[in-house]
Amino acid sequence: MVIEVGPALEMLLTPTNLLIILIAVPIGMVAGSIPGFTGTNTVALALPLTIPLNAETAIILMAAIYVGANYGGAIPAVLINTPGTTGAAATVLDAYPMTRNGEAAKALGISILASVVGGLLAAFALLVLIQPIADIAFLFGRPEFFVLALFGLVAVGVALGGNIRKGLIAGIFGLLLAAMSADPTTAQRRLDFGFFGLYDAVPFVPIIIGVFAISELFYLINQERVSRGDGDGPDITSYDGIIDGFKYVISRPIQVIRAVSIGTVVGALPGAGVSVANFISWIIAKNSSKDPDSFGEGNPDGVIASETSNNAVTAGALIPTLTLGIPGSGTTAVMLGALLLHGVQPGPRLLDNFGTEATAIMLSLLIANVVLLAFAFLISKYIVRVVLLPTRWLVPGILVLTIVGAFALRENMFDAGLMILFGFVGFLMREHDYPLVPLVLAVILGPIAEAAFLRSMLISSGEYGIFFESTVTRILWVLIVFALVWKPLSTRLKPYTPSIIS
Amino acid sequence: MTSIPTHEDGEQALSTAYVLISRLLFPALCLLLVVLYVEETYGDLAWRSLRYPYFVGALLTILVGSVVIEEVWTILRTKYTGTLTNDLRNVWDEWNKSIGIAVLMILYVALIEVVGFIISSFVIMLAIMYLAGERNWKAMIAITVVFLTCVYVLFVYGLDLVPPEGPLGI
Repeated sequence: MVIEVGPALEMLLTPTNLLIILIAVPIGMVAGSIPGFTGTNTVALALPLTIPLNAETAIILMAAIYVGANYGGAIPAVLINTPGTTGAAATVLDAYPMTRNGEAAKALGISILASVVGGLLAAFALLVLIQPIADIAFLFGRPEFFVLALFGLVAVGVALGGNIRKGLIAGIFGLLLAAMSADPTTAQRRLDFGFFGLYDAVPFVPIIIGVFAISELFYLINQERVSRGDGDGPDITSYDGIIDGFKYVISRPIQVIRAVSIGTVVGALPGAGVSVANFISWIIAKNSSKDPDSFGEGNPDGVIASETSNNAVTAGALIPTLTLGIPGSGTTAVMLGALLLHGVQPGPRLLDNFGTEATAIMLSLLIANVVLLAFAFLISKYIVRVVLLPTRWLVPGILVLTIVGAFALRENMFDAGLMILFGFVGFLMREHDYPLVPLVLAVILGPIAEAAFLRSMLISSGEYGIFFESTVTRILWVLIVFALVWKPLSTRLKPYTPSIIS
Repeated sequence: MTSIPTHEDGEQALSTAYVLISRLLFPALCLLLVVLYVEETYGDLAWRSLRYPYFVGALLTILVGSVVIEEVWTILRTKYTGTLTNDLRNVWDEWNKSIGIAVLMILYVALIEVVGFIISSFVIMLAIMYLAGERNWKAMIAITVVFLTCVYVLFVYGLDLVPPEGPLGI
C-alpha cells in the first residue's frame, strides 16, 4: 500500500475535480433526503455520467454523492421521523423526539456537524490505518458474520425493549420476514404468497419507510404541527439553534471518536455497511451513557452516535473496496463497477498500481465533507421550517413522497403496498411497546445472517461447531450471553433506594 | 402512545375482550407467520434448507408464547368493567382521522395502478387535507398542484424515474 499525498493532492485539486465535488455533494444531499431513494441509487444513476471521465474523477464524483446522500438521509429523519436512507434509521430514534420537543434546529445542527466530523476523521483514519483495518476485516469469515449478526440483533433487542422479550420478538419476527424469499441455495419458493416481489428478496426499504414514516402519519394527522415547541424561539428558524447543535457536538469528543471508530471498522466489514453501523454505534452509546433511559427520548448523544458513524462508514467502506476489491456496501459495489468501467482492475494489486489515484479518492472525502458542512449549514435554516407547517399540509405530502420512495427502488407498486402494510404493523407494534428498530435491523441483517449460516454449514459439512471455533466467534458468543444476562441481572441487583416522597 | 384509562378506584375501564384482542394482535400475527411458513415449506424443501428458518420460527414461537401466557394471565387477574361496544366507540372517537388516512392509503395504492400517479396523488392529497381539517379549497388545490409538479419534475427529470402512468399518460 503506497500513500502518496503530494501527487494525490496535485491530482485532486484540479478545477474539474473541485467543481465536481461542489456539485455532487448537494445532489447527493437532496437525493439522500428523499425517503427510499438511497445513496446507492443516486450513485448508480451517476454511473453512466462517469463514462467520459477518468477513473479517479469518476470515483471522486461518486464518493462526493455518497457523502452528501449519507448526510441527506438525516434531514427527514430529524424533521418528519422518516429516515431518508437506511444509514439514518437510528437517527430518528433521538432526533425526531428532539424535533417534537421544539429542538429541531439543534438536532439538525448536531446531525450536520456529527456527519461532517465523522466523515473527516474517518477519512484521516482511512489514510493512516487502511492496512491494519483491512487486516481486522480479514478475520471475519462466514461463521463470524453469522454470530456478529446474532450479536447485533440481541444487543439491539435487549437495549431497546423495555421488556427484553418484546425487543427480541421484534428482531426474530424480522429475521423470519427476511427468510420469506426464495431459498438462497436452491432458489425454491418459500413464503412469498405468490408475489414475485417477495421471491428474490424481501425489500427492506419499504419496510423501513413503512414502520417509521407511515406509522407516524397515524399520529401526526391528529396534531396541529410536528414540533411541540412554540415556534417563536430562536431554536426553530434561526441559525442559533443549529450553532447550539454544533457546540454540543464539539463538547462531546469521546462520543464522536467512539462513533467514528465504530463507523470505520463496521464499514470495513464487507456486507455490513451503513445500515448496521449506525445501530451498533447507537447501542454502544446508550450502554455507555450515564443516562441510558433517555436514549430514544431525544438524547442528543444518540444523534451524534448515529450520524457520526454513518458518515464514517463512507471512508470505512472504501477499505475493503480498495484493498481487497470487495465492496463494503451497495454504494461501494457501484463504485467498484465504475473502476472496472474505466479499466481499473480491483483487488489487492489496485493500491500498488494505482496508489496515487487511491489516495486522491480518500482525500476527496475530506473536501466533500467540508463542502457538505458549508452547504448543509446554509440551507438548514430554511429546511427546518418544515416542522412549523400544519400537519394537514405535511401529511399528504409525506405520503406521496414515501409512495414514490418505496416505488423508486425497484419501480414496482408491490413495494408501495408492502410499505403501507408495514405502516399498520409498525403502528400496532408502537401501540404495544414492541420496538421497531430490532425489526428493521433484522430485515436488513437477515439475508446476510442466513447466507453466512448456510455457507458455514457447507464449509463444515453440517457441523455446528464451526460457530464456536475461532476466537472472534467465541468473543461474540460471550458478548451475546452478557447482553442477554446483564440487563435482567442488573435490574435485580440494583440496590433498593427508597423514594423520597413526603 | 395510548394508555389504558382507569377509574379512580383502580379498576380498569376497558372490556376484557378489547384488551385481549388489542394486546394479542401482534403476537397472533407473529404466530400466524410461523404457521404459514411451516405450512408452505414443510415437505417441499430439504431439511438443510429449513434448518435456519425453522430455528428462527421456533425461537419466535417460544418468545411469543411466553408473552401471550403472561398477557393472558395479567388480563384474567384484572377486573375490567367496560363493554366492547363502548371501547370501540372510544377508539373511533380517538382515532377516526387515523382510520380515515389508513383507508385512503389503501385506496391510493389501488388507484395509482388504475389512473396513474399524478391523478391519484391529486385526489388523495385533497382528500387527506380535507380529512385533516383543511377547508380552504384554493389553498388545497394550490398546494397540491405545486407539490406534485415539484415531485414530478424531481423524479422524472432529476432522477430519471417514471412513476406509474394512467390512461392520460401521467
